[in-house]
Amino acid sequence: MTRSLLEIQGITKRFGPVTAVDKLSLTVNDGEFFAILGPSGCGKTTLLRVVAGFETPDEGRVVLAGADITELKANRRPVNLMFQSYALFPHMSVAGNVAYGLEMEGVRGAELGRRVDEALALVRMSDYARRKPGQLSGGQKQRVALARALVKRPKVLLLDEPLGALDRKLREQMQIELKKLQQDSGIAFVVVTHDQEEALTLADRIALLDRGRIVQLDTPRALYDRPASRFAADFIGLMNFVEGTANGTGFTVKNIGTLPAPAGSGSLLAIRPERVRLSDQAESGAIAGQIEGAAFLGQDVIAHVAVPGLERPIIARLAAGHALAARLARGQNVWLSWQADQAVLLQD
Amino acid sequence: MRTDPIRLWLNAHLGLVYVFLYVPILVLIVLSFNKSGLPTTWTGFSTEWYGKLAGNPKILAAAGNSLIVAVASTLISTFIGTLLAMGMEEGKPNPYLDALVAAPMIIPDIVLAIALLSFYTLLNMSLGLQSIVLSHAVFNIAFVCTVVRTRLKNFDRSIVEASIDLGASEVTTFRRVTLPVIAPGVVAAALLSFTLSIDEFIIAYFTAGAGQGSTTFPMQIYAMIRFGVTPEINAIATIVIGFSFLLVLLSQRLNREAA
Repeated sequence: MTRSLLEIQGITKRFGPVTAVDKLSLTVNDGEFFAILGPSGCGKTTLLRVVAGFETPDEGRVVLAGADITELKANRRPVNLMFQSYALFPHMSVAGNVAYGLEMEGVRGAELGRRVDEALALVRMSDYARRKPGQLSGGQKQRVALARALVKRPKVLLLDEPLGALDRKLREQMQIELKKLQQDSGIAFVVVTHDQEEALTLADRIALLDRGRIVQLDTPRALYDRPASRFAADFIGLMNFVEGTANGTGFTVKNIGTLPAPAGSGSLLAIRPERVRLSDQAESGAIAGQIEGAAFLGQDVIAHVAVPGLERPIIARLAAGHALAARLARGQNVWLSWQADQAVLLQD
Repeated sequence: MRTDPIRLWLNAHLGLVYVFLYVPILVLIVLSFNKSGLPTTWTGFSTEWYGKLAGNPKILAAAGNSLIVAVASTLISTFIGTLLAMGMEEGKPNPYLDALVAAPMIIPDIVLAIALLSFYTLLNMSLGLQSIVLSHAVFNIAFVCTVVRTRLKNFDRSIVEASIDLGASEVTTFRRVTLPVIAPGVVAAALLSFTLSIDEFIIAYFTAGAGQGSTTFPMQIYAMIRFGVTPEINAIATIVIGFSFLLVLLSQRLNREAA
């Protein structure tokens, strides 16, 4: 049973002639991990700041747990924001940073100490309580920022590019920790990110934004497997695009013939590289091409296959253990195929 | 290891610069301990001149006046200058406004002195310590503003928003976050304006009025020096040098801690 917690209703925010957020509506459910994903300048950070109370929308309402908070000042909203730069107070200790928000609520004495300890234990930073932020690494700072926001037990925790400042290895580790923390705390998280991988791993649902509007709102799986537009297909993961016409049972491409495609209409066929089957034997219905180049990525091998008649090569991804993977050579003749239902038809 | 000849020359040059800067001061300090009053002959070590200084009511009164002027003008200029700096950093960059604020640092003292005197006369204001305090605040605000602004340039605005996000009001945020973070800059600015005020002569001389009661320390020394450089003046100068060094060390240390 999902209950709606945060409702963004028709929010518009303009900066001079630029419309950063355009009549945008979405609903975040109780206990949900929600991601707002989009390229830089798509309005995602503005939207987050509207919810936090740092920007006043030109139109629309923000409703939290049934109460309209559009006019509420930032310091009165039961919402906390984890800043991209972490924004730790440099002159206060780690414990001081975490205690600050509670002191503002009037929590004092033993209870204050207990709740700060709890929050620090939650992010495994208890041993650093007396340190100053300047003495911490990036990952540690992030944990403190998280503890500082979570200790207030907000109804919604907003996170602005939470992992953007960390290096790759740490980022992967923190993704898992963040997800675990969200599930343990039961607090709804709304994360803003430009990193599609981050959104896919973290979120229960993703709103993909472009130019201030929602392009698609879906689960990570659906967004990946069933993108609804070229923008969505292109922004998330790698995608091959072929232009042509859907004919009900296949997809007709000039100079090539008919490619496997699901039933439906559309002028653009999209197929994920890992769905492309590669063979060195001629097969009926397969498209003939030539290996243009191959790259070894550890687990996978990525092959670029030039197809006569197509402007861009088709990219195929095969497991490193695949029989063909080890002996792909430039100029080699190969045949491409895929199952009709694994391709996606799009209107261009 | 071979010594690099260029390095050697550079070091020699550095040494000469230090000699040029500090030998006169060193001579002055040595002479302040000279038993005979003459600057030409050394007749033995003595603290006699320091004792004489302590018994000179005119010098003590002047030193007291300078202290009052310096403390008062420092308080005024630190308060106004800090707020000004914050306002200017928050607003849109405006080079004309920047120039206007910085002008009192660059305008020749003598011009500022005449301008202030004419202005006070126009207002029919009585001259005395209060007019010196105001005059010193005029140029000190410019210095404070400049020093605090450099500090604010590295100030992460997001910590102000973080404080508000965590439930603090604007006033609490200023008191508990903004001020403590910029404090080293504010204190350094205050030390600077104190130092500038305590040895300022021209503006004080013009705006002190006729009364003897508002003679500041530099004015008193100027009055004394008309009868020649006495060992007493060397003694005062030595004390001032020691004091200045202390302030410089203090402000440098504050700035380093802040960085």
